[in-house]
Amino acid sequence: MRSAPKVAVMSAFLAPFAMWLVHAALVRSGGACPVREPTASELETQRRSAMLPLAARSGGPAPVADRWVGTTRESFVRDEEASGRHCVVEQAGASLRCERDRDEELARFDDAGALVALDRVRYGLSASDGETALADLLTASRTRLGSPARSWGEPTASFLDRPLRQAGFEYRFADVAIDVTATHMGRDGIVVREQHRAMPRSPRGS
Amino acid sequence: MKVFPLLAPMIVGGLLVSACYLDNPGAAPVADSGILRDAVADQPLVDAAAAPYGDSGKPASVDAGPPLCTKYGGFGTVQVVVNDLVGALVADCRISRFFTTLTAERVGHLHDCLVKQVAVVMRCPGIKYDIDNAGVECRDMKTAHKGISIRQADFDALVQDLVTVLAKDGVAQADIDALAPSVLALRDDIVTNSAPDTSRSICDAGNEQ
Repeated sequence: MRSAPKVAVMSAFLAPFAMWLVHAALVRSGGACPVREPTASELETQRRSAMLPLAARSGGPAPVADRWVGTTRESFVRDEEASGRHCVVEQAGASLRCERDRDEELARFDDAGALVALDRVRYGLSASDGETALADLLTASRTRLGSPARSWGEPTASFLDRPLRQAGFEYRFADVAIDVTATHMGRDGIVVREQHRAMPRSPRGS
Repeated sequence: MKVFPLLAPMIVGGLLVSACYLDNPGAAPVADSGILRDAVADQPLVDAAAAPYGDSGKPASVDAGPPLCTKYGGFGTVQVVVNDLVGALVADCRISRFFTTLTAERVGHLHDCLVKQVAVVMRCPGIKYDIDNAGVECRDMKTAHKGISIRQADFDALVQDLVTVLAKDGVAQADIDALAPSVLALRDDIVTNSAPDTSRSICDAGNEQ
């Protein structure tokens, strides 16, 4: 009987802590998250599904293999480290993010460890640097792949030097889709992005 | 009387913790509360596509010249643009994770609200940014994205996809230019994670609101 006040005092201190423990357990189990973090497998399933509309509009295979898509996780990491980029694992292990200065790369791998998508992004460029970067990428792409399937905007500094202006070009092949854009992001300057995405293979081929 | 001293502090403690959750729905311990369901349904960045908000919290339209809705073929065109945008977002590996686990119901809500937002911006007659086709409220950007860990780079990715889709669907450069201030102004309502990488989980925006 005399211990009741002590128990009450102890409870007063411990109850919130106990509830915090319950909350922490729920967070770990994903129960507290309004948007569940997808697994690597779910991400790959979604990627394949999302690429189907692009695959339906694509022609034959690229004249030369895309220099990025299809490499292994190990060789990709090796190349990134050799070029001074530091990589971290993200998206439940499905992706690697590699950074150096204002350059960023996000590489997505399938269950077998093959690179299936790569985003190379350069942030904070001036309009003239954006023009130069876009021109360099277009020249390199033309040499390897021929003329792009589509282009839009004007790849000039004068055009790009205004918020939300974008110039870009794209390639659509049966095995890979490549998109390159330079976009004026207002106070953050020009963002130049290369997007390489492997097309989903047919069930027999994949 | 003997039991009350034991229960009272637990009840008070529980209320204190619950009050904390109510103030931060993203950290609520029950995943399927109404607030969280709405947050998920509204959450994707796509709402930023063409949903400039004024002080009233409602989407502001681009007022200059004739209605863009009429110019580009009416409400049906808005639906095509939004379909293309959603397709581009889920195929974008930088931000697709925000959409991967959405249920069909939530994707439907997102689509419906986004169509209405774009339609309001383009001044489609008789369209209001109010509810989706199931009667669920379409919310303002700040509320819809609260608690979701969205980086500056994620917002940039969405805007890049948006501009690509607008250009691909034949929207004139002058009209895209007119949208720029409103679209870019949404950044402060939507970006809730200043961390440079995605080390935080999707819903861990902390207090960076």
